[in-house]
Amino acid sequence: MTQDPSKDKSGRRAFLRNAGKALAGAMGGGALLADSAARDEHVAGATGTQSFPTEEYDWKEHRWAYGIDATRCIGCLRCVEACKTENGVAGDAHHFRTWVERYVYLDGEDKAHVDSHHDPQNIAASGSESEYRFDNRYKDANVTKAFFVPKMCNHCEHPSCVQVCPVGATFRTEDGVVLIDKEYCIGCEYCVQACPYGARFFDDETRTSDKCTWCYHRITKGLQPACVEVCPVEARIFGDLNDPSSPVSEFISKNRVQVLKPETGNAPACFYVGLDKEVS
Amino acid sequence: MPVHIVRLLLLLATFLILAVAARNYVLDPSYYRFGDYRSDAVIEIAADPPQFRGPAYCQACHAERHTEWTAGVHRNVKCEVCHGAAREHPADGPLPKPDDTIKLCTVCHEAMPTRPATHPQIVVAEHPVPHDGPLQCLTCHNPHSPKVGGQPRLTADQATNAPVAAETAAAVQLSPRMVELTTPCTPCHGADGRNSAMSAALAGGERDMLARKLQEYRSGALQHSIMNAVTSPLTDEDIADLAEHYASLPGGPTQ
Repeated sequence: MTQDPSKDKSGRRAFLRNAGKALAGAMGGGALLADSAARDEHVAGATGTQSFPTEEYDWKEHRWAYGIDATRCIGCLRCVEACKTENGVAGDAHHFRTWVERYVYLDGEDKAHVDSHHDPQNIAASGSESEYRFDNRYKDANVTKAFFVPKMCNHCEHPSCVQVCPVGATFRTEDGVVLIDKEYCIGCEYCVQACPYGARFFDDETRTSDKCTWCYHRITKGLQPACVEVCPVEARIFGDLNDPSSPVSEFISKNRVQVLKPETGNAPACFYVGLDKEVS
Repeated sequence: MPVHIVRLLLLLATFLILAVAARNYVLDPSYYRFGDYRSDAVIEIAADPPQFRGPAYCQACHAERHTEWTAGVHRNVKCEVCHGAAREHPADGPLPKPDDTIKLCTVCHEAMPTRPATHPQIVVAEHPVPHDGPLQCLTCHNPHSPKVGGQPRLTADQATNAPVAAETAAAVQLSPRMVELTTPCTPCHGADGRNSAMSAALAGGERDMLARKLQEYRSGALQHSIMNAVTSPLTDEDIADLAEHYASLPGGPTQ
């Protein structure tokens, strides 16, 4: 998903060409009407009985959701690595679409110690910024409770990021995935600040916002998102809510699930099992 | 009509025409098709090629490995977790075969208080017994089906991956059955049965004594975490054949 820099230029050229046409169009009302009719035709032709966005995949037939069983996660971070590979996310430890948090309660302390793969000690333990592992700093500590929590974009039903985008560059698809149009994104980062889950980041390479797409290019081809594909302990579950026998439908119907920060009204589509009071 | 009103109306009309023109010409035609966004962006995102191809893709060429893997306890750990994304493999080159298995395996199996207690975890320096220096996991474990002594046994091909076995495998001619039977023994005892560096030398031992020891490991009368595990699937006939085999080999320590 790295953006072709030539696209930028051609986009600008097309803009100028269109702006020129617009000016010409504004001078003659007749020409304007004719072009308007042509545009309507384009839209009508496309919205016929054809499936969208590909010939084999119709987004009207699906409603995707994600399940995370925090009681199973072993913190191996294969998901973080696979996501980077699959989506061409920057190789350093500080840009990521998914991450795993470690919560550790030590004896005699009320608050949890929380860290993630980009903690300096964890980077040192992995050996480089492009390899991911948790160090073993608590191996001799008196740990009373400890667990991992995988996190990512929640693909909310009422996403605050979409609400604040001034140029329509981020949107929720008909099958329930929040995507970013890298060509229209102006990099203002309103969405990065609006997201209550910290799921978005600014991609310095493309100068646009970036975040998890649930591997939209995979799920529209009948594959699982890369993080789900590589999870060795089935802590990450993905599927179609329209199909009652899909892994995620069964996960939701058989477990007592919860979402992060329900009070925001965002209505996330990532459902968790095994969270604790301090996780949000 | 007063002139200033006419001017205002003209100005408003110009703005209106410009706005309508901008919407028609500057905006992408696919904008507003489904909502306030450019729907062609969805087509573009969906067109990206997948990098992880899944086990079925690997199976097409590596059927034997696939069978071995699906029968073992690692069946939920897919090929690309350890070997990396297949992408266009084999066209774009071979996939990595991780050689530092201690680093690779401990990513999941290093003992950590944060990991669920039910997950198999080890302290490297104490597994399987306290030791100094590196002891690669592959010496005893088949990564595709890692339970030591479990079914299926290591394949002959797999044994050649074990560093100790590789040196001596060529020296001894064996029937396929004996290759299969001796595969779990070779990493520690050597293909010639003469490795005494980390285990007892077997070559040239007394047949009845070797057989009795194997039986005692199998029954648990003799306690040794690795030997108990590797002997558990053996039949009486397997034990007799193994004892016969090692007794027949020329004795003496590894040269």
